[in-house]
Amino acid sequence: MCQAINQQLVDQMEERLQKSFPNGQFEITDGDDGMHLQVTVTSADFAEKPLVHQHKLVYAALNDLLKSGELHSLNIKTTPL
Amino acid sequence: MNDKTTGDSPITGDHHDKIEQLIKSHPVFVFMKGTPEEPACRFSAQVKDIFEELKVPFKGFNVLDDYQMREAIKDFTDWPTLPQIFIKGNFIGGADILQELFDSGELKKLID
Repeated sequence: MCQAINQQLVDQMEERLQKSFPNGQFEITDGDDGMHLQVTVTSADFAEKPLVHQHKLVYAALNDLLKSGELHSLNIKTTPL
Repeated sequence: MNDKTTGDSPITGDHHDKIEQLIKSHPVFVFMKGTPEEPACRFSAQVKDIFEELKVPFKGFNVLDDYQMREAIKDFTDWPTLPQIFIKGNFIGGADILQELFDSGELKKLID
């Protein structure tokens, strides 16, 4: 049910985030349990937006990976710039 | 990984009606993997821990028992992952947001 860390997947995620948040900062790391990925994004796009909308922007960036099932769960931390 | 083969009929308005009813059926309602008593995923377990800490009971719908509802809830909220938490009928987000709201003390205010 959970997925192991996979460098190819991390690379794909970085590419998507770069595209969606060209001026943002992001970091993808192994979660606490070594099973889930932790995605941290800092972007001006999050300013004045509720947390739900901030996280939706991250999901939207990673949409194709989520839809294909390559990525099925992750921790998200967003910070407005 | 991809279990889409098990759902043959489309998501209908009936699913959305059922979701509307469920989220209004209890002040705290969670669409989750597993049950409030036995969560089947780390994130669903995290939700259980938070509400236990607050001593707030919650009701859950186990999406592992119903593939169509699992897809319908993602469609309803436009949110691609589980668990999904509703407080007083309002969509709050997933486990990360619940944790942030808990840590900041805002969660208690939302429930009270």
